Amino acid sequence: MPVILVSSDAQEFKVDKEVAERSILIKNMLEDVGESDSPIPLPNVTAAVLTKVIEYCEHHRNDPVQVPDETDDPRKRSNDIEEWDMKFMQVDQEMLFEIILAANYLDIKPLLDVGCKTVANIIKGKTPEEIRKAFNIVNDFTPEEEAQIKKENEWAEDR
Amino acid sequence: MTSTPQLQQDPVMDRVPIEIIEAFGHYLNGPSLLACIQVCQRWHQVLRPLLWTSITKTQFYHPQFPLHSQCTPEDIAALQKDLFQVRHIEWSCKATTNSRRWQAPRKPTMVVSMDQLHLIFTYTSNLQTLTLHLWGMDTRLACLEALNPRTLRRLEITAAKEECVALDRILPLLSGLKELRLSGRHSSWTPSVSRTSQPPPGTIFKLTRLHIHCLDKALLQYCPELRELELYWPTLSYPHTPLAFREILTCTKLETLTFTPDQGLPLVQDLPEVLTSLRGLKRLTFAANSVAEVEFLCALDAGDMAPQMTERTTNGLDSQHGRGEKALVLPLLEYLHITAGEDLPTDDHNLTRLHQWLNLLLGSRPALKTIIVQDLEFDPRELSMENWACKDLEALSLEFSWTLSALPDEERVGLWRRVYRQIGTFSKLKTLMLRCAGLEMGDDSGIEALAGARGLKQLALADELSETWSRKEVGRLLQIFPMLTALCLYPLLSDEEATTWLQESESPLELTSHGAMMQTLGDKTMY
Repeated sequence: MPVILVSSDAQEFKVDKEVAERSILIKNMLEDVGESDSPIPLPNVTAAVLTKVIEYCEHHRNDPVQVPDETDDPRKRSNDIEEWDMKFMQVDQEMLFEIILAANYLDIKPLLDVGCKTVANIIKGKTPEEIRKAFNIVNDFTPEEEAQIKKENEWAEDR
Repeated sequence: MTSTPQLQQDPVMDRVPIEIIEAFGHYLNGPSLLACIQVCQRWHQVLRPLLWTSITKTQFYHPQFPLHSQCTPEDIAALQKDLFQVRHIEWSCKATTNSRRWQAPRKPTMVVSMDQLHLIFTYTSNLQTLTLHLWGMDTRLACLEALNPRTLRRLEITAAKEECVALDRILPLLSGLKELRLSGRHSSWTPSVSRTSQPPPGTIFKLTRLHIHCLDKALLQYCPELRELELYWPTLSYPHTPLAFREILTCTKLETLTFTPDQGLPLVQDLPEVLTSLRGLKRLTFAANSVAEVEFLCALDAGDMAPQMTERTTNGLDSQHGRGEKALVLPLLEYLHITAGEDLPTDDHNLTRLHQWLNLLLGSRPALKTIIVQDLEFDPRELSMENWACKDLEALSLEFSWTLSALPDEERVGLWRRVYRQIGTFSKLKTLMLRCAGLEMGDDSGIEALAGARGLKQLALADELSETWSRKEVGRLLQIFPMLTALCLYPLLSDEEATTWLQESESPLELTSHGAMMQTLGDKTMY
C-alpha cells in the first residue's frame, strides 16, 4: 500500500511503503498508527528536498538494513562512496545541507553518512578561508585568535 | 542561493545542528580538522575535541604536543576533558638507563615515565584501541592497570628486545577485547597463563583476532569466537619440545590460522588431527616438519588420516571419490601457504611423496585461490599440471629444482614450454612467483603462452643460475602482461638500470622485492 507524504509547502508525494520506510522516523510512525491511509506531514522538509530524498530511497529500496557496528577503525573513511550516490550528491551546497538535515530529521542513516562524507571530501585540502567561502560562513575570530588556535593545535597536523 | 526556499531566511549553515558538524568531523584527518577549527567559533567548539580522537606517535613527538616529559600530574589533570575524547593511541616507547622512564626512539628528550602513563590512561576512559611498541621496556607494565576494560577493544603490544609482555598482565582486560596482539623476541619464557592466574572455568572471551606466543595456547580454550589466529614461535634458544594444540579445538569459528612462517614451528604432536577438525578454515599458513603434516590436506574427511593417504595414488583418489570438495578435509580452504620446516626430510622417497601430494592437492581442490609453497623444490617433470583443478587460482608461488639447469638445452626448453602453457590456463591469476635455476626466456621458450593469465598484476621470476635479465627480456614481459603493476626479477645487473628501462618504456609498474610481494599476498587475504 502506498504512503502519502506531505512536504512543508503542502505538496503530496505518493510512495511505496517499502520506500518510505527507509526513513526510520516514518517507519516508527507507521508502526504506531497501524493500517491507515492518512497522509503523513513532514513540516521540516520542503518539496524540493523531499523529491531528492525520495529519489535516494527509491534507488536504495532493496539495500540490507545497516547493522550498527562497533567500529574499531580509528578514522572513518570518506573515499568509499558508491558511484550512484556520488552523482546523486552533486548538488549545490545549499541543497547538500538541506538533504543532510532532512536525512537527520527523517532518520535515514545511510543518506546522512553519504552526506557527511561528501562534506568531508569538500573540506579536504582547503584552507580555513576556502572553507568559509565554500559554506558561506562568517569569520567571527580576530586574526590573533585564529593564529593562536593554529599554533596551539599544530601537533594535530601530521595525522 | 537560487535553490533556497522562500520560506527560510537563515543561511542553511546556521540551521545545521552540532551533531551533524561532529558527524562529518569524524571523516576528517588531522590537517583538515586543524583547518576547520579556525573557520568560526562554532566549528571550533564542536570540532576541537575531535583532534584528540586518535593520538599517534607523530603527535607524541611534536614539540607542541601538550603531553610530554615535563608534565606534572596537575598538567595532565588539566587535560582531562581532552583525554576523555581519546579513542585510539599508538605509541613507541623506549626505556632509558632508568627503566622506569620511557622515551620515544631517536628523540632522547621525549621521555614519559610509567607513572605519567598510568595517569594518562586513567583519564582516557573511552580508549578503544591501544598500540604500544616497546624498546627494552620493563614489561611489568603497571600502567595497563589504569586502562578501562569496558571500552578497550583492541590491544597490541610489541616488545622489540629480549622481552615479552606476560599474558597474565593482560587478563583483567580480556573480558572486553575483540583483538589482542602480543609479540616479542625473548630468551626465556614460561607460559604466562600459569595455573594461579588462569581464568575460572567457564570463562568466555569475545576475542575474534589473536596473535600470541605458541606457549600461551592455553588462552585458546576460552576463545570460542575466534576468527583469526596467528601464533608465533621465536626460533632462538628453545628446546624442541613437542607441543599439542588441542586447545585450538574450542575455536570452531576459526577462518584464518597462521603460524608465523619466518619463525618456524615447534614440533607439533597433533597438527593434522587438530587442523582437520577446524572445518571452517579458509586460510592456513604453517611450516611443515614432516611429509605427513602436509599430506593430511589431501585426506578425506571421514576421520581417516594422513597415514593411509600415502598408499593411494592420484588416480585412485580421483576415481573413487570424484572431486567433490566436501569429501576433503578443510572443505573451505582458499589460501594455503606452506613453508618447509628445517626438520622436513627431503630424501628421494619423501620428495616423491611431496610431488604426489602437490599433484593430489591441486587436482582435488577447485576452491583454492592462493598457493604458496616455500623452501621446497619441485621438479616440473613430476607435476601433472594439466590435472590441476583450481581454475580460480589467483596467486601461485612455487620453487623448482636445481637439477633443471643440468638438462640438455632442448629438453629444458620443452619443459618450460609445458610449464608456461599450463600456468597460462589460469585465467584469473593475479600473482605469479617462480623461483628456479635455468629459467628459459628465449624466443622458442613459449613464454608467450603465459599470456592466458592476461590479468596478471604481480610477477616475480628469480633464476638462481642464469645471467642477468636483459632489456630485451624485460620489454618482452611488459608486452605479454599489460596489466602488471609490480615486477621482481633476479638477477639484475642493477635495480637502477632496470628502473630506467621501465621509465623509458613509460611503464607505470614498479620493481619490488620478493619479500614485499609475498607480503601483499598475506595482507590481501588477511583483510
